Amino acid sequence: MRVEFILNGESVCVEAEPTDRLLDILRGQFSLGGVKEGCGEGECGACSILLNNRLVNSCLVAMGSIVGAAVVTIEGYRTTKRYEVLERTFAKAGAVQCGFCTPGMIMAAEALLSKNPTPTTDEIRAAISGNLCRCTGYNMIIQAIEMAAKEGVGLW
Amino acid sequence: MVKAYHPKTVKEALIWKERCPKARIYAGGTDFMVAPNKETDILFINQIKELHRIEETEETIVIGAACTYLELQENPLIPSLLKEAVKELASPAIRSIGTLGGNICNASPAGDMLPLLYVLEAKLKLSSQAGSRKLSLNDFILGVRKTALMPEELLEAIILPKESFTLTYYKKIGARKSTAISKVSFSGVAVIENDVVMDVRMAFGSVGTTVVRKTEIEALASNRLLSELPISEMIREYDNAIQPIDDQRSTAAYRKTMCLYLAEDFLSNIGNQISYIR
Repeated sequence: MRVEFILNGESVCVEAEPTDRLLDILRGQFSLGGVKEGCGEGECGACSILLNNRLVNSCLVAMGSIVGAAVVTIEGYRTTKRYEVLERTFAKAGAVQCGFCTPGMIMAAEALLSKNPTPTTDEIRAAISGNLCRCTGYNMIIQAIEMAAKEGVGLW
Repeated sequence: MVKAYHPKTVKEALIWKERCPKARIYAGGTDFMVAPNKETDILFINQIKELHRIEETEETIVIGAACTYLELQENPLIPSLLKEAVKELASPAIRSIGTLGGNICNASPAGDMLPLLYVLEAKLKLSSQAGSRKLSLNDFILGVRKTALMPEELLEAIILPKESFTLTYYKKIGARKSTAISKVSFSGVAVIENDVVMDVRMAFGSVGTTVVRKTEIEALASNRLLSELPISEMIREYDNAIQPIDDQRSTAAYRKTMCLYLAEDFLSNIGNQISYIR
């Protein structure tokens, strides 16, 4: 089937099977390699993107389900001022080691801050609870998001 | 070649459901996409606006079957007990697209919302081109992934009676807090008036082919003074009634032990008239 949707702000159209995973189309057809595949079953959050402004695992999204929807990946998000703040605070806090979880973590941080610009530590923990990181032990990621909320006042 | 249908309305969806009774329903996709069947036609209902409505009548709250957990969390009509339990389900990204209707129709013994929906005595509106019928959740779920849904039918809405309780209780036990399939889940509600137990309902998940709810055991508590609640007798009865199994997530012995602890904790807190979640 032909699937038209909005990808990082632009209308796109792609030929896909209805059950093709959005993850594979983003990586394969659109070369958006910032969307990572970890577990492939919605457990790790490495493939997190925004679908109509909500955080989702793109491995669990069928192409047939997103007709007309708006998809934002890390590649689209990185052109924003909000991203600049998160990039800076993630670096400052040492929140990136191997980096595999980072695009998903950034998307989860955006999903949180866009709804709640002044989150508590517990709210941050809950917001990234579906994103696994095997390097940092999470504390630096939580600090990075706390710092972003402070440094990015007014952006979210 | 797999066919995909994208109805815009429930009416249109029911036409397709009758024409292609074997088509699989795609609501949130969070279970479907873990093991997608590439051979079966698919009826996508996730973009049908009517199925995302949440409305109230004088006596009920009517939840469209394709409402996501996030939509439930954001809606003021949804009872707080349900909202609190939703927080324990999966992860934010799964709650963005996973649906209450999907949790029901998948009929997994470990469905996180099911014990709660059993004690809230949810009813289901099942529709086909011929009309609609209402069925209690208890009569709808027949076994592991088996339901009473007819091939030409679609789950259209979940209907919750409006009730108030003096105690509500929900607890899920998994290997970790987030994104875990439960080893045991438990939900209880109670109504106390002037120190007399008017109503007690308890349901256990992940410990049988369907959720376990035993109204005959609950009845032992009705019309008893709080001080005379037969807790040990009830626990003994649940000990006989709950027969879990060993599997990759847990053992029968652990599950049984936890069920009885949770039941006891709930029953001994009935007099405290506070909500307990987690």
